[in-house]
Amino acid sequence: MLHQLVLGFGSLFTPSGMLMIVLGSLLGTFVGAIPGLGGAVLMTMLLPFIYGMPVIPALCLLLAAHSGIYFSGSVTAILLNTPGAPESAATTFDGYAMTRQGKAKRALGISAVSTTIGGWIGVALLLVVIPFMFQLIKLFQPSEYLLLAILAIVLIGQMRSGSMTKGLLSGLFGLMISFVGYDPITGVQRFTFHQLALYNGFNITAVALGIFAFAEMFHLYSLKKGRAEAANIKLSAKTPGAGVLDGMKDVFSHPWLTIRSAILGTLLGVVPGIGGVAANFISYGQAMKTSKHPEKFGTGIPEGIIAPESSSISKEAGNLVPTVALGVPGGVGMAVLMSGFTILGIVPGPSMLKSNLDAVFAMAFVIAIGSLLSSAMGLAIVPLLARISRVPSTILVPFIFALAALGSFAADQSMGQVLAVFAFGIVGLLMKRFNYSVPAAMIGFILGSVAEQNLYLTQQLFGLSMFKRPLTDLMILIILFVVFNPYLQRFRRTSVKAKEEITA
Amino acid sequence: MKATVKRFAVAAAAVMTLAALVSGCGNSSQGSGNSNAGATSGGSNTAASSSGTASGQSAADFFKGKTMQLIVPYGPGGGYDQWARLIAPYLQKNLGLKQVQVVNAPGGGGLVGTNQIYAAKPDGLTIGDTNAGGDVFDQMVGANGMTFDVTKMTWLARPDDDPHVIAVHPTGQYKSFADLEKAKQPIKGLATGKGSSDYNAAVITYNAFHIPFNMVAAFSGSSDEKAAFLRGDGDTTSLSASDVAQAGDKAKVVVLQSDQPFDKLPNVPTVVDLAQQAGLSQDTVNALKAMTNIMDLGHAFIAPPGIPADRVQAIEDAMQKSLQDPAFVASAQKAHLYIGYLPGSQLTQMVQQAMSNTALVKPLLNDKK
Repeated sequence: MLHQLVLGFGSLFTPSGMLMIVLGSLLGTFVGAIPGLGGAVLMTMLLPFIYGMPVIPALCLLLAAHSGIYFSGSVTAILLNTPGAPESAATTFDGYAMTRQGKAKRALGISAVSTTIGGWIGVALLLVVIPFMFQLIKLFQPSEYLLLAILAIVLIGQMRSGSMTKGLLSGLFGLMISFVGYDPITGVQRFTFHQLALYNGFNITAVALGIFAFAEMFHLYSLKKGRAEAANIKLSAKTPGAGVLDGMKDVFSHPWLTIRSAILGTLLGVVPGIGGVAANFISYGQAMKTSKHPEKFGTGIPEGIIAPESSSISKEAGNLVPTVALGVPGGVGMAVLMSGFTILGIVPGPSMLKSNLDAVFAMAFVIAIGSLLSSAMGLAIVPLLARISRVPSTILVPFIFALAALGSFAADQSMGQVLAVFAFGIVGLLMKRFNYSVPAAMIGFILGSVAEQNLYLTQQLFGLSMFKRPLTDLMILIILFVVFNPYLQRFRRTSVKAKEEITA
Repeated sequence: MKATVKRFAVAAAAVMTLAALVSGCGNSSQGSGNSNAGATSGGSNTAASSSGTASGQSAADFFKGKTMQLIVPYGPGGGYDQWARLIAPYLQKNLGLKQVQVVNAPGGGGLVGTNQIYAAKPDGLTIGDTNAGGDVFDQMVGANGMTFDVTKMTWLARPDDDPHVIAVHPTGQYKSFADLEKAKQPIKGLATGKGSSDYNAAVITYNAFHIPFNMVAAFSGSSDEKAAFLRGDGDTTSLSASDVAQAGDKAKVVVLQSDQPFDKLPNVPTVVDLAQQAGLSQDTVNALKAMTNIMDLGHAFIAPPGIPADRVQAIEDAMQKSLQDPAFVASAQKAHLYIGYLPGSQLTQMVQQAMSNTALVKPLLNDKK
């Protein structure tokens, strides 16, 4: 075991291995900044190049590219409120708020450091569980997946929207959107209106860009003070407390939050389908739930960036677990990685833990090194990047529109998805206007298919005996607690008040 | 306010222009091979045939420098995806193509992708690697959401000799096929999706042997199904022999869903053998034979109907040449894929024969109790 670990680590430090890591990180950093072109798209584009390459350098290239997108994806999320990939969507809440306060550099500093630290924690955890991967996977069954999906929707439903009802309605709206396309169980079309463009449902990139980026841009464009605001940013950027170093310090002053988010990200990554894009929202949600001042989230506080950023790469480490142990991809990026395995002649699954263990360890290290490299490269150009926030909205907004339209087209090669971005932009704008929870809708959309598939599997495999599973019951209790806690608190508060009144 | 509206209109117009440009570029770079560009109704495709040959262009010239889309109706990482990705560079080489793009289009037990292939422009630049058996079964039962016709589809080649099997957990309640036959409680049978061939084959077998069963099928591909089985879900799994081989010692094959014995699993009986031993009626044995005939279609490569004959021939030749390439053989072995070429003409025959056996097979396809 230790021998394989050393072998895996050592194999990276060959000229070709290092070259591929640097190349991959560079590509990832570059592509991550383009909305819509996430790690999965980049890896798909790289697949043709790995034919005939030796295993380790090829894996270095793919995984470094995949982990490289996170920092630059967050850069656009922070500066432009446009997540470079859906994985950075939650970073927009506080990141963009900080930019508007003129603290763009600080936000970028937080993002870079927490991404790297989160990645390293995730990889450390992964190294510990690699020998027990198979057992870990067996712990979770469809009933737990189902409840995890429901928990996430409920948790996020309460986030950033005053009303629980509106939050849950938003989550349900997201769920409905996810049902567009073929029914995965019977193959019947749902809500497609016989439009070929809708047969495969909505693309996640189109939905994320629409309800986050487009909605914000619509809003920004309608602001008459657009120019004045830009000028304001320019002024305040010179004030102290806006530097990258301050951002780094912010991360170190919240060590427990950073570690907790990274652990959460890794664990969510282990769950196939859920891990992917949901991790940063769920992490943001837990940071808010456990915070002493939840009302400040979304106004531009460091915690709101640390939590989603720290979990974003760590979940990639977690994603490797089902990919390697079972041969089932933990997320979209891992699915593409598995295609890469095929090309390289690696058979993922239990046998990989025996025959290619050194490659498994090597992959873990690539994620760690890749995240560090791309953050370092990104930080080097932060002063340049931060200038983007000073571009007046009259120039910026059409540019983002064009970029997002391009990105959504690239993700699915379909004009229908470009139209979907516009449609979801208007939906997102309306949701913001009437205080519905955009993140809840997004989580509902992401987890809709996970919930649906696992609901079916749970019913077929367990039926009512799912309640005999302790882990399932525990999760049901957590969901009930999350749903009813606000009411309980209100009840407690009123009873305390009543007592005070009596004593007074 | 007026100014805002005006500015907005200008911006929107700019974006629309750009998006239109982008979509134009996308299409031309693919040699207008966008899979969505085809007709929406399946049957009308046959009319629009042989547009390329009229210009007198030879098939070899036609493919040179173009991009081919190879659609896989399942998620990445599964058996179909593996075949497609392994063979793609060899097809590219042998046809002189610029690129063979592998496109995953999972969903609906393979219906999403196969519909897409069938509806594609019949120019030979969109082909697919499909679960042929599943498609035949879909047509037998008139599956919902199906917009293709297997008897009109262009059958290109079968690359593999990889029989479908039923496997159990080596440490589970049922350790052999005899255990399954004795089952009193319904067994939980995993399969990829309703309407897929592995689903139907399992249903036919269990019905033929009067084994009580519940099918559990909502996976996006064989890798998902395999993962669920490895995790401990279900009692049996219906997969191909190579899929089970990848699961190592965590799955035990109990029956071959094939007419022929398989050299890599020498001690496993075929379902037809077992039926004869069990003394099942001749009609049932014949129905099982028809089923194995469908299952032996394997990971077939298909294309929309109406492709000019010389291009079909060129693709078939390229396919055969690829399968004999020593480099390909080596990488297929490494990935546990079993090569066994069958030409398109033979597949077409098998499909015609299968469809003529519909009345025999259909009564056993009932999965409702």
